[in-house]
Amino acid sequence: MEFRSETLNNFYNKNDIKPSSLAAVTTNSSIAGIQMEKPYILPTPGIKKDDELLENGFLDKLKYNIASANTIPVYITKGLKGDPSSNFHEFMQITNVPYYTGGPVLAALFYAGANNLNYQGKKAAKRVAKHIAIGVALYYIAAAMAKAVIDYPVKWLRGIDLNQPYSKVVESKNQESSIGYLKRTREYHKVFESIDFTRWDLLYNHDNPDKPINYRYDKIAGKYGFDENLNDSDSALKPYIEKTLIMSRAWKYLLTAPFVALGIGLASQEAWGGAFRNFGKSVREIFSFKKLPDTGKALSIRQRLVRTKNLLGDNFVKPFYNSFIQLWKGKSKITGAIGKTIILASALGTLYGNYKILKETSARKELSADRKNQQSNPPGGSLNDR
Amino acid sequence: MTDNFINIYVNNKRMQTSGINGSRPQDYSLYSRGKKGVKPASPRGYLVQENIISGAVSNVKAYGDSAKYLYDAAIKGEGNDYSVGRINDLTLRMGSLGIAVALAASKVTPVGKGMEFVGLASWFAGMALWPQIIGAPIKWAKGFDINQEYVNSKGDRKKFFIDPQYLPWDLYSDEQIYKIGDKLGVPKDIKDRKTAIQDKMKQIAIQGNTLAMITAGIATPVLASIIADRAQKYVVTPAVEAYRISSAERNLDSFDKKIGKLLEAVNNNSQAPEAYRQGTEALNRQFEELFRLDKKALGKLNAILGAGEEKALTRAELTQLEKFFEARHNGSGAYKGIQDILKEIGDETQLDIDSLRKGLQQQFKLSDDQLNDIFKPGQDGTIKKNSIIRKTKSLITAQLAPDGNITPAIKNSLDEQQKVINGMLEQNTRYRVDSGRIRRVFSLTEGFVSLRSQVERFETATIRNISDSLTANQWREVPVKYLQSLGLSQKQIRQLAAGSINASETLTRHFEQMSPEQATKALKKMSRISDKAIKREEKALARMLGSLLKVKEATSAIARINNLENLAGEFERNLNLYAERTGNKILDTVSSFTRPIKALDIFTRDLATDVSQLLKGKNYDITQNSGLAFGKVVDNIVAYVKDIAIHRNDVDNWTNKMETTFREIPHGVRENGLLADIAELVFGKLSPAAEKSIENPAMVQKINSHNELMKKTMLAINNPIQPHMNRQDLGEFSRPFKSLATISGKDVADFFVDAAQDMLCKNKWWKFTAILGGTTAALSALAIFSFGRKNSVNPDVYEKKGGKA
Repeated sequence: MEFRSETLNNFYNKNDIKPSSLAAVTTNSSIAGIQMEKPYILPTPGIKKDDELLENGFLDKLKYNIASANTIPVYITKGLKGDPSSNFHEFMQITNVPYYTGGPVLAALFYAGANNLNYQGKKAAKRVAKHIAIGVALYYIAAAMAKAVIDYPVKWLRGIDLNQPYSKVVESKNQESSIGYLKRTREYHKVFESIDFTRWDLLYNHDNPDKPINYRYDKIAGKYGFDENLNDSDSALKPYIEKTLIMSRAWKYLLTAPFVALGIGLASQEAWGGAFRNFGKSVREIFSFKKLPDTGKALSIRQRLVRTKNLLGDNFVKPFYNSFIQLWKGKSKITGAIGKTIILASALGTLYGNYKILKETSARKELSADRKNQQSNPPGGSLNDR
Repeated sequence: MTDNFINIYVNNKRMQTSGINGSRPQDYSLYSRGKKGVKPASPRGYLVQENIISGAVSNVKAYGDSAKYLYDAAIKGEGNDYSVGRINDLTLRMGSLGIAVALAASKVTPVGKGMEFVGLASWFAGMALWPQIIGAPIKWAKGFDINQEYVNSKGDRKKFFIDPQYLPWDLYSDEQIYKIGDKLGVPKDIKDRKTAIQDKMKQIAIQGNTLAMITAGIATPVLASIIADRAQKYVVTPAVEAYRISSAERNLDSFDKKIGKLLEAVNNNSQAPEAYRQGTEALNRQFEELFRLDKKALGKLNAILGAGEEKALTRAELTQLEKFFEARHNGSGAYKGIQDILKEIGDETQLDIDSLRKGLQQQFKLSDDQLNDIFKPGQDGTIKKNSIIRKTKSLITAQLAPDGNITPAIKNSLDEQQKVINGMLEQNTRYRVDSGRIRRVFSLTEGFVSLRSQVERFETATIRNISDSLTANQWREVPVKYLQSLGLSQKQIRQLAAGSINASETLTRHFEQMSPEQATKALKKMSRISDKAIKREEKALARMLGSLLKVKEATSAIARINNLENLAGEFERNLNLYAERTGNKILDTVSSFTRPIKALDIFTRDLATDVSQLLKGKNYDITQNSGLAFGKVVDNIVAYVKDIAIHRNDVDNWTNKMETTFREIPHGVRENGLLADIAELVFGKLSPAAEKSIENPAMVQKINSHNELMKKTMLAINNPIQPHMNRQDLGEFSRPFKSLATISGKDVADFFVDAAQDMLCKNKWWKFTAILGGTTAALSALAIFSFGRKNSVNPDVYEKKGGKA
């Protein structure tokens, strides 16, 4: 598949720039003896030259997630061609494909044997497949919750948004072009996704002249237990933030274990057996404008809202709540013990994890110890001197 | 001077990082602290070359490392991208194990529970296998492994090609690269061949990794399902069955030994009557050692009976006693005997004279003399209730009507007083009970229930109709195996699955057009399968009946020794019923498994000859008065017999004497001789051809004798609604139809309908899986074939050596 764009063609034709030696362009520009012309960087509209910090509101993050998801087909095509500019980020994005398709395929396999000639078998298969599907959905939700129960406390109590997005500009070489221009694309990353290569530089303020350069770090420093007016909050904070990142990531992984067991444990309770019966039909009825046979009128808004409330209650809220109780009680002593263990492991694990993170990343005790030392022997002025 | 600066630098660095993170060893791994001079360390990275065993060992080691990384990161807050990333492997497996435990808890059967863990293992096996399945053809075709792992100088273990922008090519030697290049077909006479080969490898690795990743979502569940399904069929179910049966047998063996000892002691005791009394107590104690007595229940009983050997119970206490036994032993099978014994207590009553005397004195203000008179023993020395009532009543009458005038008011009052007197008598009646005997009844019944339940435990593992028992497994497998041996097409199987009526037609047509070779093969296979299955069930039954017999002997002997004849009778009756019921179940199985064999025999033998031989010379309605030629009648009957064999060979049809089968005989076959002949055709011996096909004389004998039994049974069915249909010659041997329902077995058509439905589901599942998995595999194979080719992003423009373009 050739890569050409109309703009490019027109550009070349208009300005009559002839391509220089075709053979000069290879996959690797390190071939000795050949002088490479400096690649012409075509400005791609909409993408700035540099990486930039992005808004971190909920809707914004959703927007970036959707944009990331839309890049997956592009990355897959690149990968299947063996594009040498493929990188690790693209590969990691592609791993979302099996993560989200594996569960539904597994659920479908449980229904695969159903056929109309074995009605009882078909009913049983439908019931089992429905249960598995609910389990798959709760698995995904539980895995996301395991991350959320660490993200939110860290955000509130330490001021770090672990999912702070930024856009990274990637210049990808394109061999098809005759003069070798570098096409710019945008990748959506998170500032704190790496521990060794955290993008500290993006947190400095270079755009807004009214605020100090360290204002973001200053805000965070307060939550860590530092004084509000540190001279160099960034270098004081960096080791603390790094430790926060390490512990949060570790606890997010660790909490995934009891949370997904909790999700599946809930899904396997009988409370979900009555859910999602004629769900599609009920939804269609809520949105339909057909006149009812007994009243002669279509549903009123109020009736639709009531139906929606009932639908959500019967299919989501009530089964969820009842399954919790059923999991806790269990059907026998052993199953009750297992259920209680899973629920308690999730709850206590969350609390302990957050406690540990907050305790280990607090600057207060170090500072108070420091302060005691400094009060007796300040090395070059105490922190309170400005 | 330089040394000093370096030391200052190193010390400063140490100070800077001595804060929250402490010293970070990984930064210093390549430096030797304290040593003078800064010599570059030599690289210690290498490509991983492992076989299966060392691979497994390093896998285990990896878990250990992950655990250490987890502790460092979660508790101490130390780590880097690599170590924290490795935690995910460990926690993923922990989470999956948690899921397996949560799911296994909600499963009831041991196979179900076990399968959750097999499913867990097979999911991870699928996840590990698929990249290898993609990598293997690539290795074969292109000469290198895209899943190659390496260890870097720090000791981190990573996949070589995971990040195409960071490929540590120095780990591959030049010869390795050039060898791979030859396989790849990179031209030998180009400049910088090494780089060109590396680029080609990079391209193929990117393509391979992408393909593996996008197909993993489908391939992993499919592989996992297939592995788990095969594991369930060939590993888990047989293992669970074998384990349960063997442990049940072991339990039964030790149980048998203990009961055997008791029976020996009983026999010895019966032959040495001198030490009788002593022997009974010892035997009772030995009996009680066979089971665990419920101390709480015994305590409750003793609360009613008191501690001694005898007690006089009040009416209330007697009711309590009755309620106790009802709550405890109603449904145990011996309850009727207990009720009889308790009723006996009601026969022996005595009056509490003192208390009654006091009561009467208080109530009716009688004088001592009057009371003495009331309570004077009669001629036989006893005080009769009726005499008390009579005397008391006459005294009261004298009180109320001194002048002898009994007005209606006085009569009413007298009736009232009568009730009071009766009530007082009732209250003061004492029931004499032999506490020791009742206690004995209790412990014997407890023992009986417990011993029987131990035999039932064996039945649960083997011949009871519950999940994962021997019977259940056999009933799941044998019909399917039979169906497979018949060689039906997919379309025919679908027709069978549709239901009984279609099934009969399909089977009839298939049997009709089977060639002799097909029939021989089918008969041989079916008899081999049923032989094995039946043998196992009969063996289990024999074992069980052996123990049951011992239990029967032991419990009834002990009961008799303790003079509890009623109880002994009940025990025997109950266990006889149990044995018969179980035996009937086996007959059901044997009947169901052998019936298709006989049915196939009926279709493949020369039935017309048999029919004409049987009917020749006999004076039946159907042959003489139908108006058809003999040959035509024979043909009709041949068709009817085949029809019966397929789907009318059940209790209902034999009860109504085939009234729906014979067109010419719409009200059932009334001629006993004809019925007997039909039964002979349906249940007769296997033909010589069939015997030869089966090649197993013992099995043939078994089938024939079983059919003989069924023939007699079916002919003897008593139709209560139309008694004129019954065979008069059998007299008391004719049996009501209800009891035969349990042994008549499943009809041939119904037998195959279930199997067909089972097979259909399985086939559909395999089709779905094959399409899903096969398409994925085929597309992957196609893609792999085109890996490494020139394309828009890999133009493969090479410059020949010597500078020519």
